[in-house]
Amino acid sequence: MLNEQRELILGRVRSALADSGEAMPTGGPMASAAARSAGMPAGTPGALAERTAADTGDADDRALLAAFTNEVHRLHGCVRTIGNRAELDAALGDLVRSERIRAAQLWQTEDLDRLGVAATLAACGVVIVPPDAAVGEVAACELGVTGADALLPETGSLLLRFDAGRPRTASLLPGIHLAIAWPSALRRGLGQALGEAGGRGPFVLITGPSRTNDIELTVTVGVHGPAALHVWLMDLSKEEK
Amino acid sequence: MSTMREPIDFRGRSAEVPAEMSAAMRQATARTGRSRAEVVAAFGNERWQAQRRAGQAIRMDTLLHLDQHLTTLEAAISAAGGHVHWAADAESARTIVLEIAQAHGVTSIVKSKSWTAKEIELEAALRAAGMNVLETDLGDYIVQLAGPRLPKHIVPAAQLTRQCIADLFRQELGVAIAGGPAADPAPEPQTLTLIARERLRAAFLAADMGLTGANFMVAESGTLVMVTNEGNGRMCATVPPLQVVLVPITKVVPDWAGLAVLLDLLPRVATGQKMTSYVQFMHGPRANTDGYGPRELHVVLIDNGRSKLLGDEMGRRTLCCIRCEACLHVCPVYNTVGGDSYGWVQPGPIGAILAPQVLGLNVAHALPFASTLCGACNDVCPVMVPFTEVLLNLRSKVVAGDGGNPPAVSPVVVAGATMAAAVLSSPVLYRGAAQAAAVLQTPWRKGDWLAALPPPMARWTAVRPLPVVSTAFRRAWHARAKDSSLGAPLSRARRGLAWAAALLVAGGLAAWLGHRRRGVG
Repeated sequence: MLNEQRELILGRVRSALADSGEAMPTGGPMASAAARSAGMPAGTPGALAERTAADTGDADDRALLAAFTNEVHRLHGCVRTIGNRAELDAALGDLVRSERIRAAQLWQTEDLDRLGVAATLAACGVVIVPPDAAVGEVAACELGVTGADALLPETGSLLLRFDAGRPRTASLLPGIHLAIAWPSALRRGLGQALGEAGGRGPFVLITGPSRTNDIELTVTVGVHGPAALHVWLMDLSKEEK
Repeated sequence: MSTMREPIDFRGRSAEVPAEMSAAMRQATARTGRSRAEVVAAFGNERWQAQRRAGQAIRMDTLLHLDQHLTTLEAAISAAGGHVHWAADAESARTIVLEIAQAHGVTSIVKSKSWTAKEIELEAALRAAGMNVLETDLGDYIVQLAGPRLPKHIVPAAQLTRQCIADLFRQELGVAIAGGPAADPAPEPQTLTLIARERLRAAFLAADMGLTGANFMVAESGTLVMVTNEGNGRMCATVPPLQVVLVPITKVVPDWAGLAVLLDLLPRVATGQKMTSYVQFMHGPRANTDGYGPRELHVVLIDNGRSKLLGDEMGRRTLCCIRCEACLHVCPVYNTVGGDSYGWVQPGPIGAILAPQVLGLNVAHALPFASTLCGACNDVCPVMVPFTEVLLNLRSKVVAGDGGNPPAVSPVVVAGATMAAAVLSSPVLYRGAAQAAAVLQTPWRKGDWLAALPPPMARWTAVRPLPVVSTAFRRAWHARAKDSSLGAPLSRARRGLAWAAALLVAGGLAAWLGHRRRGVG
């Protein structure tokens, strides 16, 4: 039954395309985007990726960071720059107190471990929920802390790849999402970011808090995903790499 | 698609639509239109046009090699641990989903917005099998709660007040909302949103299966892409142990470079955002990832009449559609009559060109005429679907008859139109016909007007008379100008122009004579 439907559909597709008279390629099933774009007019994928890079090519990292910050703020997210470890600890403490954080799920990555985020939160009395906790337990957390694999200035987006120790739930279930990122994660365009992350497993592009305008066309946040998005950028001059 | 369908009565259906619905639709789509204009301006117009051309090129190239991309996609999804099912039509698709759900003992399903699910009439089949299907998109959730109490023609986001929704939540959810019915002030939308969030979260955590669509499928890696704002799509794909994704075969994208181009286009035109809140990239079930997501992922690839459009250029250009629905937002017809009038799951300009090609002209012959041909859809479409060209093509097929369908007009009218075209395209025939008409019109002439012509022109002159055919156009025009309220001013203007021309000529002549007398040049 399954194979019959498959052969039926593929047969329909092949015979429709064959009847149309369009030549089928004799090469492999898929050319790379670059090879294809070489034969296609300007404005096709490879050329566009280059143009996108060229569009922001003159902008230095500071300008890109400023653009990213403006976009996130425009979407009612919050961006701040953290200069050193003490400032980070103080900011975490403030967040815990102001938002009454009782439990949090964190990514377990080298960067976040080196910054001691889990230890600082635990010292503030926050229960740290492991990265493989049951969904119900994560849903009860007020805070989710992640890193960010890419930052996109044009749209104010964060790209988060999911893997062991990098749970997707941390940026979805709690009411507050805190992303701790480094300016080295800045990418010039969507093409570059997807080129790096694509095909390596599941990931998400997050642009501002969860939102809807299904009630009286009024924008409200926190429908299903987090209502608040905080992005803390570790300052370039203090970057520990 | 469905084997037997009644012809869609667009005119009859649109006559039932109340005026207040049109006003609400325009209010909703106008906002999106303003946002769209802003983000496109920020993108840069030249860059935007290049992006559209690239989007079109990618979509056309994909369709021309669709079978190859589908087999690559299937292999990649399977390699990532997903299950791929193929459904040639709506009934097969429903059967596949039912079998998957029943094999896993599913009783509760959480569903994110999916036009494909609506197209194959899946929800009714699932309910008939004893399963509960809960809409999780906030607007759809509210509509589902309201059920038959909601009037047929309504734009929920624009016409359901917060007071209305609060009352609905009180009645259906048993929630105590401060203020009581008809309270003043009414609860804030944010308050109502949080109530829905809490209720739906409980449903997500208890659900056996998540049912979603996908906006794109990246063939080279088997990744499914969902473009959303609320997060309910992420919840459906993260929390339940089983996920079924319904996707038409035409949504495949060959590679990540192509996807990047289309992702820069889709949110900007669809919702007027540079990027939606969430774009999730689903890659297989939870095994070998972060340990969250479905244990089993099933992807159902659906044809349901699309493959037959691949055989000609018009069909392929139609299938380029990436379901942004921007054409709906800018369409004056859709904004006046709403989606129900189109009698099919996909309304608006894209519905008007897709339905006749998928359902057949015998069912959807009225839809190509559901357009003013203003071309706003052409201008807004991110992948440059040539809507007006396709509409005209379909109209001529309806009129002339196509395949098993008889012509929509009588051979007499067709002969008359053909003759008129020949006369109007030949100066000799045109002048000859005008001279003949000037004589033949005499029995019906009343002064300078033809007040009551015989059929078929009687339908025109019943409403307004036609001016007589005059072979001396200039004389007739002057006569009309003299009689009209413009006559006197026109005469004065003509006299003034004549004097000015005479003075210019005299002045020019005097200057030339003076020049010659001085012997210069």
